Amino acid sequence: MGELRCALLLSNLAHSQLSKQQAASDLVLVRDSVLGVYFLLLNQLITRPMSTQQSKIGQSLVRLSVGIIAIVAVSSILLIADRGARYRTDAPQPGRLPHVALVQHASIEPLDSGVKGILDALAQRGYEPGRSMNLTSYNAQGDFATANTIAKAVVGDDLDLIITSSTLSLQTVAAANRLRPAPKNHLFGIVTNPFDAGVGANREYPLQHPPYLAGLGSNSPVRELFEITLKLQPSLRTIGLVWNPAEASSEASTLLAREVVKDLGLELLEGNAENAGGAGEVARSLLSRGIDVLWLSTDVTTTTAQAVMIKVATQAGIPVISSMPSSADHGALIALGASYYTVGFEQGQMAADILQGRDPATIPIINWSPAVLRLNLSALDRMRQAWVIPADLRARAETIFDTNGVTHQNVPAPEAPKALDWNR
Amino acid sequence: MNLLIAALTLGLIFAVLALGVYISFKIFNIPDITAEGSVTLGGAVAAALILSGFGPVTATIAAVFAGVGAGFVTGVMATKFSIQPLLAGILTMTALYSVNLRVMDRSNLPISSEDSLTRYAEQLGHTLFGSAQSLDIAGWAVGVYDLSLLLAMLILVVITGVSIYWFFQTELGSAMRASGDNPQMIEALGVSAQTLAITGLAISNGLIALSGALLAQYQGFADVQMGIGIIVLGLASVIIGEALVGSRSVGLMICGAIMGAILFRLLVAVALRWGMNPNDLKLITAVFVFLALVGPILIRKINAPKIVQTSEG
Repeated sequence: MGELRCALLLSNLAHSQLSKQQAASDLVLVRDSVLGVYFLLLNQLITRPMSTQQSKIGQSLVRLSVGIIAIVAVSSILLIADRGARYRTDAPQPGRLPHVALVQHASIEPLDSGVKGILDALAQRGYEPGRSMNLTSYNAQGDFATANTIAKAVVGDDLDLIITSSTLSLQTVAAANRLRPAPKNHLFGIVTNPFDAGVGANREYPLQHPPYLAGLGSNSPVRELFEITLKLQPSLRTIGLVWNPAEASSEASTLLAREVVKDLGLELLEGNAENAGGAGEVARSLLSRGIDVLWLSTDVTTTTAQAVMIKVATQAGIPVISSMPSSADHGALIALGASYYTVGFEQGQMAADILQGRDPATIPIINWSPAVLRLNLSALDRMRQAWVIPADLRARAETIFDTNGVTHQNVPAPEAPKALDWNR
Repeated sequence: MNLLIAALTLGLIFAVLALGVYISFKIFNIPDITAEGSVTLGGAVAAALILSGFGPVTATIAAVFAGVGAGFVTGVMATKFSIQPLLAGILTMTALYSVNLRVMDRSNLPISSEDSLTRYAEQLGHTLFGSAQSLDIAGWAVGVYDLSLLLAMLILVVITGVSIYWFFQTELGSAMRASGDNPQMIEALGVSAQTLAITGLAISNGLIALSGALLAQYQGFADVQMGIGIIVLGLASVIIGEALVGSRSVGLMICGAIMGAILFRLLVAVALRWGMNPNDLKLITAVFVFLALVGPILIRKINAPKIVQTSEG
């Protein structure tokens, strides 16, 4: 029975190999290989009962053969799927669409908006996935082993450009790319601090980086946020912060904030939360220890719990300031943060530049944080101290929430640094 | 081809983890969650020591001992203080989170520009294949570096597997296996089942930390979140391995765990290569594990009526 099914599938396999003309036959081939292997495996299991004469070692070998066959089979599937990479010439063929891979580490808001920006910018420059560009998207969903597999896959592929979104994707791809005989062009973005990521970027000398690597760093505009807050409330002394020390980008924000408060003569009162469930509790403890404002940094863990934290702070009459623009939607008084969509859009423009021939070695690696301001004035009357929002700040805001509802204002998007301009 | 080599290499790195999980889960029947902390501990200790100038071999050995320490703590809590083993593991894992942050002093330590074990693998590759950067294997251009990493990992996993097999044939190892199956009996023979369990968990976590140290050096950085979800991967490898070999003898189970880990990574690589919707990746991997689990059971069920008939006839 099992043999019959096997034979049937193998003949199918041979058949689909013959009709190679259609692109669809590839899929059929792969599907049949999988089914063939699966039945082969099951077949092995059926015929497993051993005759007693067989030696123990022989029996063990037969038992191991199932696993070995499975490994060999899955490996072959992988090779069959990869056969396009054989005897490849690196010389570009005329009429070939540019091949681009897009890698992100997890599905979180900043990365998703960044990726959206990248795709929009590429489309604006005439690179439409499937039509004028071959695009493969990868997402490791936060799994480190998968992230490494993805990194190895993209650096080994026939690609013109690898675009990564997030610090961890930058690190995994850069580590895999670094040791290739001919490293692939790699453009990174949505990275808080590329200079400490160990990829060869230099803060003092923006053009000193591996020739195949370029990208954008985006530190959140913490200094500006604190300055605005201090201007509104000169009696401000203590800023409360809940953060998760396990997050690299959150840590970078905290380190920056510690410097800024020292310069402004303020004090930063920190509390650590290692998961979203505990963040509200930590915020409450900070409020009882006496803070003038609660600051939400670019911490993913606490951003998940921002609604709770804003609620407990508002109940205590303490305003919330945030480095995530989305916090204003939940009730944060001032939300000034990097617009990840805008960062992604600029990254997409740079990607188009590289596809049109710009050498990544000529692109400086710099920090650029296009700030977007949102205000939420609906809880102003419940604050312990009086907060007056001047007209010039209102004019700058992209969105204002107040007791009357939501006002959207047309604020021009921040312009990218001149150093990044090329042929546009 | 590059993807295949990467998947095999990662599979071998996680095979070391699977061997550790095999000891706690199959020999002592403890689903030991310490693994989530000790894999990161291994990576953190190795990265921190390499960064402060120690040789990669010293750093890796130190990482193993750190893991042994973590397993020892869980073992002592589970036996001497009679805490539920699952809870003891959770406690150690929680504590290790802070320990790991202390060890690294930040959440992410890049070591790709430092001297690590991967350089030894590279040297091995150059002695074997000469100075070529890449080799032609059946038409695919394969990097010598990738190939030598795979080879080095294979050697390491074989050595580890054989050592564990040898260990479980010794008097101590046999006593351990017996104590996992029947602690009362081993106590009656005058051996402390508690000491055996502590030793077993220490060895298990030492292996898991070794896997973490290797992963950190392979990917070029240690991150405090790199252990998240790793216990599922280890358990899945052991269970797939058991389903593959269909036996509980130590030697076969060791081979099974190794093959399970490799197969798991290969299947993930296939899912990636087929360009499946990245958001579905975790679901697809779960389906793969499910198929590996139910395949053999289904087949036995289909075959069962035949056996009944022959026994009646």
